[in-house]
Amino acid sequence: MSNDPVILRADQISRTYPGSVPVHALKPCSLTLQKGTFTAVVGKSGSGKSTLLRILGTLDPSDTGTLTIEGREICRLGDAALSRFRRRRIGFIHQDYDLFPEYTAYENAVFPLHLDSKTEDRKKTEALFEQLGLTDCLNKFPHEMSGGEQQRVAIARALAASPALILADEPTGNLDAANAERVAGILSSLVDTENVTVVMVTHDASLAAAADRVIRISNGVLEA
Amino acid sequence: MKTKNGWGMFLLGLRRRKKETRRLRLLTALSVFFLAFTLLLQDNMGAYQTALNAETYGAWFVRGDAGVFENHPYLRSQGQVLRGSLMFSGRTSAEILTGERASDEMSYDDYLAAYLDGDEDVYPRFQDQHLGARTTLDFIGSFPEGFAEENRVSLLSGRWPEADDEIVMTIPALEHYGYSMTLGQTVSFYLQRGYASPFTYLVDPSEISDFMFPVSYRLVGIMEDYLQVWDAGTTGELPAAVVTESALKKQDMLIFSRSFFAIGDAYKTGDYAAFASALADAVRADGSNGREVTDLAPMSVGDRSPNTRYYALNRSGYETAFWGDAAVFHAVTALLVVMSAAVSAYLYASYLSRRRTGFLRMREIGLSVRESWKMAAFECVFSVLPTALITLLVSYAMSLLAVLGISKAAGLPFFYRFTAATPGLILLLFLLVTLCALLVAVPVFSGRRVFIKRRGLSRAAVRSLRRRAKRTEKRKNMGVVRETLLRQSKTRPVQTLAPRVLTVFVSVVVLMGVTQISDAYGAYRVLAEAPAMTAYAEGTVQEWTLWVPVYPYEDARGQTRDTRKHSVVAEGFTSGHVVSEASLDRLRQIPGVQGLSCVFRDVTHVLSWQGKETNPVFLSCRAALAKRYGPEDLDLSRPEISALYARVEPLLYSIVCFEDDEAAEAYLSAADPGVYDAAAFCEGRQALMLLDETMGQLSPGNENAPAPDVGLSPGDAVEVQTASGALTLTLAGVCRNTDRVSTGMAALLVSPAFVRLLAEADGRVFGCNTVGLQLDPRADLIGTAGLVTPLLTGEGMRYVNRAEAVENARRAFSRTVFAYGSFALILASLGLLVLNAAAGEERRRGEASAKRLSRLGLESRRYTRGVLLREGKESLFVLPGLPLSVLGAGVLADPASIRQFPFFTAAAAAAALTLTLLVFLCRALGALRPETDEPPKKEV
Repeated sequence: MSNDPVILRADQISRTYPGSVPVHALKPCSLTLQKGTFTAVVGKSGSGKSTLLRILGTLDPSDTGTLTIEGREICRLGDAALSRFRRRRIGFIHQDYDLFPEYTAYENAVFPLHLDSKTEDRKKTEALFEQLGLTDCLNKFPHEMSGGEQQRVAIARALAASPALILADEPTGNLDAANAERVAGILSSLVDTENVTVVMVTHDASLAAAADRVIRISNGVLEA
Repeated sequence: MKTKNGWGMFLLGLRRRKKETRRLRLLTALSVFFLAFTLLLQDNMGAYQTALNAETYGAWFVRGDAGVFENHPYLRSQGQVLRGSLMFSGRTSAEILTGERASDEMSYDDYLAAYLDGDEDVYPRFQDQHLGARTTLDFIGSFPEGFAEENRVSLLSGRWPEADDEIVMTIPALEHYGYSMTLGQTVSFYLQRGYASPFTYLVDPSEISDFMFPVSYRLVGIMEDYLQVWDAGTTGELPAAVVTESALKKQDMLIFSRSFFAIGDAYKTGDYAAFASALADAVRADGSNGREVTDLAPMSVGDRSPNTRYYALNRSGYETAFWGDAAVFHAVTALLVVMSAAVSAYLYASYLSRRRTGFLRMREIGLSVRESWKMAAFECVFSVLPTALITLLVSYAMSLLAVLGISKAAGLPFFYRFTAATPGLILLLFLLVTLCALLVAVPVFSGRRVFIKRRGLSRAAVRSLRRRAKRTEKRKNMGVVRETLLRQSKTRPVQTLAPRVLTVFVSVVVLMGVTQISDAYGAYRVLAEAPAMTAYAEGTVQEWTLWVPVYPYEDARGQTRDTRKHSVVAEGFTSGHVVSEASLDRLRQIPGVQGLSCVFRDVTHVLSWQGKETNPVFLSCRAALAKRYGPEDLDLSRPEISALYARVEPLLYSIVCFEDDEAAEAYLSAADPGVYDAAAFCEGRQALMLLDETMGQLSPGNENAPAPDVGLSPGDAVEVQTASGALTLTLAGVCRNTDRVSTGMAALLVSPAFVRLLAEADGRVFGCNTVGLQLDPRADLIGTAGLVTPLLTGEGMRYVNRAEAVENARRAFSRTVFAYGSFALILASLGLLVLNAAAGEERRRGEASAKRLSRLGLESRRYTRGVLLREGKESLFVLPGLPLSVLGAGVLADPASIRQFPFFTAAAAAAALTLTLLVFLCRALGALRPETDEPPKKEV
């Protein structure tokens, strides 16, 4: 692992969705993220937050510029290598939890390990579940859990492979205030406990306030 | 928990989503069953027809003609010829010289008809005709052992001859010569030796006793075979009387031998056309004796000059196709395969699209595109392939059972046809379809986001519409719904188009099935409701023989011009047998036939001219014949000649009535001016004498020249003897017969009114019994002849009485309903199920828009109504099937279907409306049924 304090460096990345009227979801922008920081990305609906997150998470390619994560230039990687990188170094948390309905909470959480043909560590996973207050949910299916529980399972899944970077797209958007605060707190604590870098997209100013850094985006343009 | 790799988790998830894959497996099973079962049903309905034909017509055989015939080397080399059957046959003649009974079916005039003009060779049957025997008993022969069984010549009663004085005859032969069906009676005939000019003995009576000799036999059996119903007993094929071989050889007769070679079983289910073609090539390669290979036309082959030799194959009984035409069969098969593939591809693509979210989730946690592909492909194959294999086996099992039931019910040997290519084709099809579906779904798994138009309307647009909708709320709300549904469908053009295409396809096939059923029903109805005809009233059914002078192909071109200027005459087997409308319709459909002229022609009534000592027409005929064929005078002092003429005299001319009033009027206006009275003619009190070209020998000239003097004048009276007394006609005049239909040397042209009087007086039914075909000069007579006979004989109606004929037609109708009805029903049912599923799919897709509209205040019933209206509109795609099926039936299947237009239109319209309703119900139910696959999420 490199000693570079910068975990992510994006240089003039942009994204345009084609169509009868092209949509410039993200205009050319540059961004660097320091290791072990909690960054909030705020902006109105349709401002390009999710697009930025997907590019940073290597889910969508950037139309321009370069993206480097942990010293690796992403655009040079093929799909297989990119996928491998993604499942080992990046964790995703979505607004609508994105759990597999046919797997239990435990199975959802260890899924990335199986994709990587790694041996799951049940004790570690159970400990994580306990940490997240999900002890009773180990063998439950998503439809048997509340929204907050599902989101916490999603967090557990994102942490399963001990990633370096966690990207959360409006993780509290579907939660009530109490659960939203709890989830935000968990994400915030991950920076210290797991030594991960967290980027969270939100439109909730109070949650953004808890971040180390706030990046504002408006109409696809990153504001300083 | 055991350690699992990614695939292990994937399989675990697959197992847990059984409920979700259940629908896919069900639809796959339906698609495979639909395709496999319908293909198998098609195949085996064809096999069923072939089995029926084999049961009726007997084995395939090759018939060699003329002389003692060897088994051709090609046939021997095939190793499939079971045995060569040699049959001796000879000519017979009627009882004319015995004077023992009257023969009402003289065909003397036929022989003298124009189409034999210039041809002085005497063919055996013509000889028979000249001597007075109708072509009933052309041949007497003997069968070698086993021949009868192989060729389905069955004994109706009695036994085969064992002694040289025993004989077995057919029903037409017995009836013709006036014998009863009583076994043990003595039957007598004259047999003829060699060839002779037809009138040789008329002009040189000394040859008569050398030419003909009497024989008598004891009737020990009555037989029938299918060829005779083809030929109404006028065989050139099989004898109408069978004696022992030794009995036949004892007679000093001209022997024709025909060899029938039964073809082995391998060819019965193989490619008949290829076999026929190979045999033809082998025979031509022989290059010997001008041998030809033709299709078996019951009377065309064998009428040739003795030097012509043929092989004939009984093609018509075995070339069957489920839809009546091989091209239609293959087209429907191709359509079935394409539609199944399209439906399956649609199902898989829809299924994979629903799985998109799941695979995207896996992409986000690190699954590569390639692995996504593999998993998606595995999921499809795992869900589909076992189901497809099982369903395939079930299809075969069910088709096997169906065929078993049919063969038992029909009393046929088990005829199941196993097509090895079918399962391979189906499996390959589904693998290809899976691959295509995956290719369609590739962008889904690449993780690339494709900008997709938003479905439905944005919130702002809907609010705007709502503001406007307040003014005319109901109308505008429905407009919102329509717009929403329209935009939904535009984003999924394939999913919108596919059900429409499927609807049209199902309706076309269903309606084509309806046309086949309506054809069969029409044929049954015509038979059941037809007025009683003489043939049926006498308890027999005799089919028509079309008599076409067919020449060896090489000669046809040179002779075509001459041949075509003569009429092609179809004659009733015996007078008084009326040609049915169905037969006339079928004659009209023969390629090359430009028109028909229908004539009632009667040669059964004795005509007595009032005030004439000697029949003037007879004298004129004799003079004309003598002028044409022989010495100047005919010696009537010899008893046998006198007896001959006594028989011939009253039958030298006939009574004719044209169907076409214009033809009658044309003659009437051309007649000698006399006492022609249109009213009197129409009322049946006047007649016109028509004289043909032979009589024209007396005064050569063109058709506009005055008619020869035959000793008759306008105003002369003639009595027609009937069963209940004499009817009197006054002669309006005499003219030349220029009509295209042969009417004999001399014919009395009467009106339909007189024919009705005749019928009443005789207590019989008279009608059109002679048909002349006007041929297109460009038509190929060889082809025409080959077509005509099968058309006339249809499926080879057995020699049965009317009640049996009606029952056979009813059974044929039932068979058709079963075959085509069940095929159409299966197709329609499966098509409706798929449409139902498709509609359900679309409903799920539109749920989000429906909820959004509902949240914005649109009444849900309005949305429902909009959906119903859309489904109703989509259901109307059945209607294009109506004209398409007419086109299909008319162009591809059977042009005759269009002729039954009123019934077909009604049946097809009813089927179309019913199908529309069913399609609408299925689509609407599928569209409105609530989706219950996934359990509701817990409320937060």
